[in-house]
Amino acid sequence: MPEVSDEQLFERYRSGEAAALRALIERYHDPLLRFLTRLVGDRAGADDVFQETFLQIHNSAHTFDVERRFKPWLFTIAANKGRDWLRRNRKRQPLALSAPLPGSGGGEGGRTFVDLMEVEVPQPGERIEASERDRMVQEALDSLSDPLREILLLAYFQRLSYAQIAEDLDIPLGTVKSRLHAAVAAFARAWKRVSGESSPRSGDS
Amino acid sequence: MTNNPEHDDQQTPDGTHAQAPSSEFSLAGADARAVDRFFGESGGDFADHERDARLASLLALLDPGVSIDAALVDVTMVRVARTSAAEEYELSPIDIEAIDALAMAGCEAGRVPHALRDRATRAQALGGLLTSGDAFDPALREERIERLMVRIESAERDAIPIEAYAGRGQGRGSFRLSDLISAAAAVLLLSAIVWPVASTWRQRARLSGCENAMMQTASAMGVYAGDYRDALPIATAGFGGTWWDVGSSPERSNSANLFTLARERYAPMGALACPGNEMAPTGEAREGQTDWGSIDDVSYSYQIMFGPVKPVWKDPSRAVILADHSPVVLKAVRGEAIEPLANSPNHGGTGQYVLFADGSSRWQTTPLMEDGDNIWLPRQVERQLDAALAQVGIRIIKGTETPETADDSFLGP
Repeated sequence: MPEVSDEQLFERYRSGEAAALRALIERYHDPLLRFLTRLVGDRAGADDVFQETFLQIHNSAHTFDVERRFKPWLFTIAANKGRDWLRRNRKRQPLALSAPLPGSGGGEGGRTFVDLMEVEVPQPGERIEASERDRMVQEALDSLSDPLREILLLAYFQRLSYAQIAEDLDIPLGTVKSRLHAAVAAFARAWKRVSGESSPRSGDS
Repeated sequence: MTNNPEHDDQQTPDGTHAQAPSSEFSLAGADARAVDRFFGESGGDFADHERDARLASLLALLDPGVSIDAALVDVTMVRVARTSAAEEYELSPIDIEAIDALAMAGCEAGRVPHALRDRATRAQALGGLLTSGDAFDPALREERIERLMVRIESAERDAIPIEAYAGRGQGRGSFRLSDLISAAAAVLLLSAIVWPVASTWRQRARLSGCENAMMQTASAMGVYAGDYRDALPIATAGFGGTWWDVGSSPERSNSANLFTLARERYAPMGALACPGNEMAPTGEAREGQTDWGSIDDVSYSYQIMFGPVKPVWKDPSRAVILADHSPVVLKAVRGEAIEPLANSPNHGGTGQYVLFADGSSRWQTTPLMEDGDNIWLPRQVERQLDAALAQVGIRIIKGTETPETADDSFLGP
């Protein structure tokens, strides 16, 4: 039996079938919560934003354009709600990308090329304590600027292709590419810094 | 509801960052192509498997370990439902009284006692609107009552715990008209406005993980009470002298009473675990398990259910029946000096969530209630304290005390 599409479910919800919303909430529980956990960096906060997101979906149900796809709309609202949450709850400013990094060499206007092959990532079989890894990843993410973090997380958790992102966000394909490249580079760099700080074996700075 | 006029729903994340800063970091060509491949761009060049794998591992770091949380779906649904069902739909107590009086008076507002007559008349008129004018037509009354009875019977047969929705302290089988209205409203409005715990959600926009857990527990208590004639969870009628020997036997552990909700599968263990208590187990209870293993595993302190007096669910006295872990019992059980006004350790001593017998809850930054009742202490100890403040710090509870009256909130262990 073919699965009912998100859009069909949403349409059913709009015509009064409450169970259809529950189905959508259950369907997106995992990916959306993962996305939000990383975006706001706080599990309880992610729970909050998750609820806010579906409240907004409910309240704005009439504005949804049936020609569009549900998932990008959902993630866009979630990103907006996440941004609100961060504004209300962030205890400190995120580190600017330009914060001095050991060995970055990135001066004003200069660009530093990040080589992924130089970035240590945990290999399968190499066990880092999950909570420790989570903390480090979050620290790396927190050091990204908001736009870069968002584009990285949106792209990764929605598992969208460039073409879809470009279409959904209505921005040129080239822009999507360059932003995502920058986001991956920034994350790789931040991860290198964070993991280098906590692991004595990769001291390349 | 969120009041963010600047937020257009279809606004793209891009929209607010029209001039997204370009990173000072960039990717080397081979890496950029690997990113392109990852995000579905079929590059003309051959795949660089090693680089692709490295990129995939790097991005896989983004996946946080998120445990499935069924409660989140429920809470979200209730919040959505609550938005649909605006608060003003809930009847005020006096309107409930008026509607009951109207029913008692054979649906003739003229026979309702004077004090309630105005309201009863309006209720009658409202009822008339709902049913196209024939609501209280005496000629149809018999038929309507007959239909009502059939519905009540079928509700009984299907064992729908109407009390659980209507939340009134009446035995099953003795419904009031307002109960039925509530039950119908509950169905119509996704049970949001008359669910026993909904009143709590009305009070706040924000729900923390702890409060979510407590609300789940409250919801489970409501269902339990529906099954057990309004009783709060209790494991055994016996009492072995002290009630803080968690993990020993139900006669000697008050937490075993609360654990009844997990043992009888009214609540998952996660609902009885405050995220602020790192020791709290969240996995399913073992078959035959009757209590937590130790006092540190327990997240919530529960009204001491031993002794002659016990509050009941929906008790209007606003007695506190559950709260974040009592700091007083934690100290007293180890023979340390207690601080009667300390807050729960669950939230770093900043305060505690408390659950009232009426199903509502709130955040409190002190263990003292408005009426002066200290939820960590039984009244006899509170009196001792009042009489001899100088003795504060001496071990003054021994784990044998029980609440003096049903509205003496005294939680542990």
